[in-house]
Amino acid sequence: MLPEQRRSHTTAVLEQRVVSDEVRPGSERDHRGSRRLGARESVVWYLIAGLSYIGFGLLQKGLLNWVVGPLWLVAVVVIGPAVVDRIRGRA
Amino acid sequence: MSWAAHQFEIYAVQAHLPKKMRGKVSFFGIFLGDFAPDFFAKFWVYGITINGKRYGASVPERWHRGWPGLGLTHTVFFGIVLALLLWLWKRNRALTVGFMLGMAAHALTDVNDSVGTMLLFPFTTLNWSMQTWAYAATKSGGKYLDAAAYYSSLGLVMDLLWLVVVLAGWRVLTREYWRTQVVPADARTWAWLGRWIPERGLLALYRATFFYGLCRLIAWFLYARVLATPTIEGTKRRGFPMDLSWTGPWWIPGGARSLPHVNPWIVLPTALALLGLIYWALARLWEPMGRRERRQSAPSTPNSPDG
Repeated sequence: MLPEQRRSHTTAVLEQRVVSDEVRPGSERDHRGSRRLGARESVVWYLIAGLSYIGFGLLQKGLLNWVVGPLWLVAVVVIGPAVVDRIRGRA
Repeated sequence: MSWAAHQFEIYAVQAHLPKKMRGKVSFFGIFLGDFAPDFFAKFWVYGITINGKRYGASVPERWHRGWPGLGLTHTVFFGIVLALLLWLWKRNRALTVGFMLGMAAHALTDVNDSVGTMLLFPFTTLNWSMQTWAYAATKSGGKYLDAAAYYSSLGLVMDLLWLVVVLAGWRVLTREYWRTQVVPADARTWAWLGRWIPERGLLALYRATFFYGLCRLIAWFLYARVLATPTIEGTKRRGFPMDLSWTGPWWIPGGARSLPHVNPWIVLPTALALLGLIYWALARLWEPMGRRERRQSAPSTPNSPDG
């Protein structure tokens, strides 16, 4: 395999690890086996993240910074559905 | 000083890459480039207060954007130097070009306030400012006055304008765009993050800067308009007065901050010309950098031409 081909192959494998629906079209699970969110569910979690961040941010303005803000969203979107799934017993 | 505009412009740059660069410029590079100027310069602008004593820049606007000071961090020259160092270190075209575009976006956006940036540093240390709204980071007012002034002036319009630009290219925020245009340019980084974070978290991470920009816009706007109770000219008010006049708002103690600057009328055409020049130069360098990167990444073997 030529170096360029080898590199392309490596990149393709890495990409597939992150976005595995190219491997399993329509799969509800991602590369780690975590559940993918539907469009409506995504909107709900993003809204929860946004409203809670703005609310807490207004109470404690120190939260309104570039570290907490992005982490807040990621935490809500990752942890929120996982907790709901656990409660509903479908983890 | 621009607020959420700096978060929105990252996605605007990502969405408006030249055709041959689409899907190949690092999003993390754009983010780091856009973030770098304030990372280097802003921590001392507001300063910190310990036991009632403030530690920080004595002249915030000079420290932030002037010379002597850290104003060079908000220059295209500084962006070129850092991008060059990044290229020499990593030989990564996607990251280097993204970083340069991000740095340029930040430096050019900041010409709008009354202090502006040293666009043509080191050829001149004069600031280039359109004076659109007042720079209000003062020693006594700190971040709160700065936010209130920004969201009571044309700064708010600037944030909304950038928001509209991103929303007009809304596809840049979709999962499909992230999957097909963003991940391939940073495949290793996303794959590394993907070892710990599920896909919905990775997508949220990509959207997080936009989310943060939108939330801080809303939060600080609500603070400035509704929650703050300032006393201005002896009158206690609910919310700071809105002032959409040029170089507003009028009520900043001591007035809008400024540094020696060029004629504001030549700033916009110069900034646009500089932006065009940067895109042109990067487009010209794109293929040679790609060839160099491929040569560099090819493993050395006894039979390879590069040996």
